[in-house]
Amino acid sequence: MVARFSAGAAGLPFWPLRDYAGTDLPRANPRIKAVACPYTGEALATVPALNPDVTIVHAQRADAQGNTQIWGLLGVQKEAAFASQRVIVVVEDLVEESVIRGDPNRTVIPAMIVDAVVVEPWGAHPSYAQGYYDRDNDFYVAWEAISREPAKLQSYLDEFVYGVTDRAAYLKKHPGLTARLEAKAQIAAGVNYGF
Amino acid sequence: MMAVVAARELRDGEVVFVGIGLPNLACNLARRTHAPNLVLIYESGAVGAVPQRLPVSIGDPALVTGSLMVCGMADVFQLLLQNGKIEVGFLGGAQVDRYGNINTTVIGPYERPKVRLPGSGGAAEIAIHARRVLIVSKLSPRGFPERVDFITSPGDRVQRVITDKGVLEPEGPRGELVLTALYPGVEPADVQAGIGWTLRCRPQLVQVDPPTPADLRLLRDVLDPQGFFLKT
Repeated sequence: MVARFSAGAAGLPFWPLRDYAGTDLPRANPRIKAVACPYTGEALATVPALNPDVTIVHAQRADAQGNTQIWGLLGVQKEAAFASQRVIVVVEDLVEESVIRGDPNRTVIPAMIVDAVVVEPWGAHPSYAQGYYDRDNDFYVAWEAISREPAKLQSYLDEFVYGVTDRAAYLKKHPGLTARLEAKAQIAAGVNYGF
Repeated sequence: MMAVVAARELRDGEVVFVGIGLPNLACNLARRTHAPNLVLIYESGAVGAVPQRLPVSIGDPALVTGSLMVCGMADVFQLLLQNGKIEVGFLGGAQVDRYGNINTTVIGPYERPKVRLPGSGGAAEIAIHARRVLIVSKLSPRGFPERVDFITSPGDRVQRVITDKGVLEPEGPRGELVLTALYPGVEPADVQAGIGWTLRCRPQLVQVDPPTPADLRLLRDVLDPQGFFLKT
């Protein structure tokens, strides 16, 4: 998946990998193919590019143009965004462009590939946003029972997804949640970007 | 016991690719005892992680705080794993066979599986690229068949299989797993009872020391006080 997004993000048709020797995975997945290295002749596995129609990324902050800064675990968000036809960024904070320019190395997704910015604090719950709030593990544990039964799932969706107008209303349905999960401060020292 | 034996396999300063569950316990136990300079790498991008709590998910924010480096997953797989920078990889699996091949894909034929398992994730790449592969898995005849139903991760680089009763190691040109060490109070027949092929034993079996009181205190009071992973 990572390799497929890498190919998609680079505008290439496939990504080469030194992989799968001794496994049954190519037998099970016909999209895994092989190519001979044109320089050494080494046999390499290949996977095709993955280009989503839409990628939705949750991030800590962006400016109104969509310049998006993320810290903490990055996953394949950058590759998925660059591979995608459209990109929607959901952020905890909307900031001035000067904030972005003040720390440009932290920008993972530039405005030129972003179609929309959604400002939605606590939008990642029950997952987390580094420096904002922790993963709600109690919810993940509870989810197993909810997702097991269609009736329970439907009543969950009715109450917490279709039954709320926005995220603020969703949070109101979870009293004490923000106090329980709010991140403790661990502030990084700034660096000198001057020349 | 499995976590303690797995921790003892790790040498100080090694670079270890860590999975969630028992490997995670083992690595953090080693880091807090004999291997303070262990470099823990998590698939999600934390390098040199020092998690203050036991991560419950590979994407746990506690992996980030205090790490040496945090990078994207493409960097983890391309620059670190495929590029040969990982010394030890830890794997578990629903099935482990006579030659250390691991199945985390399907039980039964792939086209008509009896059970669909989580799949490879990064397990195939870890088995292929980590220089030493350690397997941690509980014994059972279904879990240790003669042949796995599907090879997700090849057994070529497996050096130890740490079970709940003893340790297996590959021997001979084909790397057949043989019994090499027993935990206190365990007989070879107890290990054989959880293995689906006729297990060969090394003539001199190592008797594994039990966990120290310090190990147990760390595991139970510090690393996994809620008993998420220490159920056995």
